[in-house]
Amino acid sequence: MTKITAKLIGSGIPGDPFRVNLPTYSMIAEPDYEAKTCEVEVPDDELDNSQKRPDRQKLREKYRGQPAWDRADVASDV
Amino acid sequence: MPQRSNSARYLWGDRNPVDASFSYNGYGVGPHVPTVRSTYTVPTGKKANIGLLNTHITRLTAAAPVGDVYSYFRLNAAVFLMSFLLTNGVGDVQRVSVGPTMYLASGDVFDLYTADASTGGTVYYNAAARITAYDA
Repeated sequence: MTKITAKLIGSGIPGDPFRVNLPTYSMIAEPDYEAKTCEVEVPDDELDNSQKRPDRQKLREKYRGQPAWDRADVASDV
Repeated sequence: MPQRSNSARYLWGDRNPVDASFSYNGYGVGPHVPTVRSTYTVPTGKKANIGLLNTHITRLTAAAPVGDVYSYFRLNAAVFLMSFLLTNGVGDVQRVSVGPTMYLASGDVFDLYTADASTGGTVYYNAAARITAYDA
C-alpha cells in the first residue's frame, strides 16, 4: 500500500457520503472537508510508475468487466 | 501441504491467498458527515474471504448536544456490523467484534463508514476487517 493525496467526492449525506473515487483505498488521516482532499493508501499495483497517481490502464485491467472501474475515464477525478 | 476439496481444485487458502485487510483508527475525531473511511473492491478473477470484523467507538469528550455516532461496515447495499453510540458520557463505549465466514465474489464492494451528528465533542474510532483475497 502506498500513500497518495486524493480528492473527495460526494456531498456528505447518507446516500452520497464523502469518499474517494477509487475501488480500494484506506484513509490514513482526517480528510480536509473544506479543501475536499484526503490522504489515502492504495494498492501498489494500481499506481503509476511515480507511485503518486492511480494508473488508468492498471485499474481497467485489474477490474476488467466491472462497469464502475473498467471505463476510459476511470480515476479522472482522483 | 496444499489441501484439495473433493474436486481437483485446491481449497481457497491454497489458491494464491493475498491479504487485503484494512482498518481505520481515528483518535479525537470531531463531528463529521458520513464518510467512507475504507473500501475494498474484489478484483476481477478473484474472490475474498472475510474472517474478522471489529468496530469500536469510545467517547473522549462530551458533545453539546450529542447526536448519532456510528461506524459500520457495508457489503454492496447491505449494512453489516454497526457500532452506534448515542450517549454522551466520557468513556462511553460501543464495541462489536465478530468472526464471520463471508465469501465475496468479484466486483463485490466492502466498505467502512463513520459519521457523527453531534455538536462538538470528540470520539475515538477503531474498526478493522480481516480480508483474504484468492484466485476465483
